[in-house]
Amino acid sequence: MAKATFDQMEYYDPQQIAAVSHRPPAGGWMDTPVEFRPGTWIYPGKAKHLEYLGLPNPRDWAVTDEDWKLPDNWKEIVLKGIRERLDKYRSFKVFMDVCVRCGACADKCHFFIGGGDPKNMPVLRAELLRSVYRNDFTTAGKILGRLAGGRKLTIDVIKEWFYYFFQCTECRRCSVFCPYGIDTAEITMMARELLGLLGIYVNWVIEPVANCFRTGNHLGIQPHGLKDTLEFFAEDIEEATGVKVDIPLNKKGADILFVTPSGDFLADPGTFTCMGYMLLFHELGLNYTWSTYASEGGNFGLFTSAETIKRLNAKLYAEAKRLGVKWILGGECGHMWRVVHQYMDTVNGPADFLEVPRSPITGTVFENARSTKVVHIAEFTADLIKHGKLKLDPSRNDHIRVTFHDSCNPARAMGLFEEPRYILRHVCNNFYEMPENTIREQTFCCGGGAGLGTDENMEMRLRGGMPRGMAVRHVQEKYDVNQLCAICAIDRATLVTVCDFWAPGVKVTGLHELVANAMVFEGENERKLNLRLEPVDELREEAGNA
Amino acid sequence: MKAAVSLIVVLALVVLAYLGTGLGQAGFIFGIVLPYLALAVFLVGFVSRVLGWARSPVPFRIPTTCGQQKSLRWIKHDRLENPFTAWQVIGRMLLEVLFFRSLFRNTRMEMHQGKMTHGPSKWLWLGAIVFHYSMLVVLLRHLRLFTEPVPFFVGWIEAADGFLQIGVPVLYLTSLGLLAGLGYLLLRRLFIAQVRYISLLNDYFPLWLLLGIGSTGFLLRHFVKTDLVSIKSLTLGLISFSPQLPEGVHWLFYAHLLLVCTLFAYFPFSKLMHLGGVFLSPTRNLASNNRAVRHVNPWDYPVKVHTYEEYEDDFRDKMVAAGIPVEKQPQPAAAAEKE
Amino acid sequence: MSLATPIAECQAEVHGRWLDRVMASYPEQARPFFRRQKNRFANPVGQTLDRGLRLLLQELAGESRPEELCRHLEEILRVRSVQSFTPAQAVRFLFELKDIVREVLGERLADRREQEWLGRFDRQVDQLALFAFDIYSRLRERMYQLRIAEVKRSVSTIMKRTGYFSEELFAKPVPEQKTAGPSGAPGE
Repeated sequence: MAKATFDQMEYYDPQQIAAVSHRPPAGGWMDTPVEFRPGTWIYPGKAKHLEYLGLPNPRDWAVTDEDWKLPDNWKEIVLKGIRERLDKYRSFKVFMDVCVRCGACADKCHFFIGGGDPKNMPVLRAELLRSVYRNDFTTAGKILGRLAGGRKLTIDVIKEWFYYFFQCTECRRCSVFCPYGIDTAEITMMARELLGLLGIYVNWVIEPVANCFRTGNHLGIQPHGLKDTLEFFAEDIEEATGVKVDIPLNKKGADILFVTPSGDFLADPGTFTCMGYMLLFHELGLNYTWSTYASEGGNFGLFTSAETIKRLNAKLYAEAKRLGVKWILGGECGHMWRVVHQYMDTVNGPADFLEVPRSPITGTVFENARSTKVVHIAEFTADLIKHGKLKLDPSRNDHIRVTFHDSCNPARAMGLFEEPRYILRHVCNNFYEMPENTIREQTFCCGGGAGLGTDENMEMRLRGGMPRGMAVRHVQEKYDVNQLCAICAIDRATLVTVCDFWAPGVKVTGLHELVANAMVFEGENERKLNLRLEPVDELREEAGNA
Repeated sequence: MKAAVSLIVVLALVVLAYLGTGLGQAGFIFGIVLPYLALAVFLVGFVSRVLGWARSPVPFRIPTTCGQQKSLRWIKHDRLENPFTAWQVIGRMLLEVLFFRSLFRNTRMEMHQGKMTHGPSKWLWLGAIVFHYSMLVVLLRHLRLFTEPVPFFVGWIEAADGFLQIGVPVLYLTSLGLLAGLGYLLLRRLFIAQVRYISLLNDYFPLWLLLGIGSTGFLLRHFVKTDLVSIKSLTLGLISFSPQLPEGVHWLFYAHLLLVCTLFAYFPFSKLMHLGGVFLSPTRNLASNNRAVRHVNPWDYPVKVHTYEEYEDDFRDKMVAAGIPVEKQPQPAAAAEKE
Repeated sequence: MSLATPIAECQAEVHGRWLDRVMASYPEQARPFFRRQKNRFANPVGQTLDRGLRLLLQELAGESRPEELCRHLEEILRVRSVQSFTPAQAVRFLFELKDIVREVLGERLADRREQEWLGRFDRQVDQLALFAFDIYSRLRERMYQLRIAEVKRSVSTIMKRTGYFSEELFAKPVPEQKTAGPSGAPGE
């Protein structure tokens, strides 16, 4: 091709000038090494956190370093790790073998949809690992190598894994469409465990894990800090509602241990949801307790390794046992419910020292939680409303036109669809659904799940959040929706940003913030302020004018 | 390139059969030795592959839920998309295996600028269904060659399959369906950029192989019209372990047979094992009743945890200062000094 | 100033070619999906670009109101600002419109009057590019603003407790600046 002259568009070739290319060169994907562009990857885990947790190869390093300071026998470690996991997980083994590369999943990933990087097609993300599997673990691959789709394990492959397996939010949307149920989340979890064997973690995951191990929660809030925080919430609650709530903490002899993601202690707007819980329990006169030791519902172990899931999750049953509660109630959180519903009983059960959960208010026995003994707050509250135990005035939320975002894990690992919607319809008069291929089991991720919710990869997150953001924008334009309700702490942190970018004007709220704002409390004031201490009249006027 | 290589391999097999049986006299190898060998490889390979999967345990119960969970009595539970009992799981698996439920999810028709449109994925489901069911019927029809007397249902299937009554011998719909389905699956692999990008040699090879089997079979039935009676004597001989080589069988039949043998031998080492794998996929074949029925991990092992005692030791003073109840009161200052 | 005359007649063709050029900036493997999936929720990138370019052309062929042009540009650039493009790559498609119009109109641009029109059209495209420059930078700035706001929000309790941070900032979302529009860009 002739060189472009100054008057042609091609003259300016950013690939040469900035050494940045977006289009992968022609040729197979196996020959395309990863390019680390700022804004798309996450800072690596710091040595001190790995040391604290007793994880291998702690060292400080940077993603952009040429040398990632891997142990000398890194290759052996990874291959041994694969072997071990093939023997321990049928899921892994089957998913490595049965993919026919039909491409049904290709356009289901929010990162592919938002950016078009072919390695974000779930099938190819899995092939990054599968190619190594074929090369070293299958007869055909050992003999035919490349011809059989095999690829040698190199440092570049490790770097590529790091890049792309921390570009998967383990949302499982692709697995809904796969004819064999191949779950990329499972493959990502395996790949992250393998990277972990080399001491490759991202700091946004491993620091919370270390915090949680020591202080009981991801954010590292110490016991007195938690008490302080809840007292601070109680002050705001009193200002908003005139109701004085008490704060049972590490209380022995309570009926129920309540756990929620610690994000709700520190980050707006989750904090308002937390106030909602406190008000609800106060109004019910529930004999419950918070715990400073088990002060984390979430479990970043899910983004680290099966062993870490167990290490962090152990506190919940241990604390329930120590305090002598009857059962556990869990707050609004996404990945927490993947762990509680699919892992907790297996890793740390049986919880035979607890009772089958029974609502002390309605008498309903939660048969679906009879073994694990953990009930979702949406199940609990929906049951209360069904039995008419809550005095609700949904018109108090009339300035809110709300849509509901199904969080990935409660949706695709649990099937919690109707409970929150039932509650929402009883506490808000204006509820609008987003288009059907973006909700329920087909819901789009916020783009920040599975340890991606940090800020250095903001561009990537906004890209991945685009499909969700566009659907929000649609209901905003069509129905004047001004709030998005989510039952996940990561959503409440990341979707605020996603909405501010893709659908400015839509605020994010939690379900129990709306519940509390609609509830009529005994001895309440005139309720001129909502839990955010905003004057409701003004909000109503604003909404009326809109 | 990958597609061409695999096509050449398939063509080479056909040529080999011609050389062996059209020109040469290797009917014994092609008609008796190879079929037994291929079948043996298939059986041993298939079984060991499935056993291999089964040997790995299922440590966690991780179904993908695609419908409302079973929770409160008054909320309608979606039994097939979020099964709670074994029977419901069977229902889900039947939908998956018989109707390709998950693939069907892609299907969406909608209005776009006043026109009805649907994504290309709808065609994937249709192509897959047409191919797989045609394949099944073709296999069942082949029972005629392996049984004496022929089971009653084979006649029914043939009658239904050939109801159009075109040509002599009658043209079967599934013969066309098989070739059309395969053709579609191949074309989309060749011409849709994203599918082409992910395709490997092992994706093209089985398609060409099956196309080769389908077209040689078609030619044998409609054009070469080889002697069915002698073929049946061969197949019946094979199946009763008293093989005999009939005279006058067209070389194309041996080509057909060689491709079939190749398929059988290749099957256990390939992605075609999805036939078995689909039944073993933990996101589909387990009930989502985790909180009601405990799932046991056979390799579970104790891990290092941070106990409450360690935690309290770490924070006791702060807890006491904040008025949070503790198990052990802090030691008085004097006692602490003595240590 | 209206560009209605020549461009209005072949809008569909210009649109098609323009979209192809924009698509060429994406990986080959994603193009068929961006191009063919017509559901805007399943394919926000493709549909936003398709729609945005169409509206942009309509506006150019019609009244060419600056605020409308900016509005459509912003829809397109919002998508392209988070897709790993360099700034130049992100807005390059605007200049390509000049080539496309010449390709499509071809010999019809022979006479003097049309040549004049073409000169005006080129200046209009340059103006669009200036708008785009503003909008793109603003979107990137916004991304970083949101990033900072999120970090602050993530420790809002502490900040409120220590009085470090005024509560007002949490009550209202980060205000979005209005579209740059004619006043934000150098005048014609």
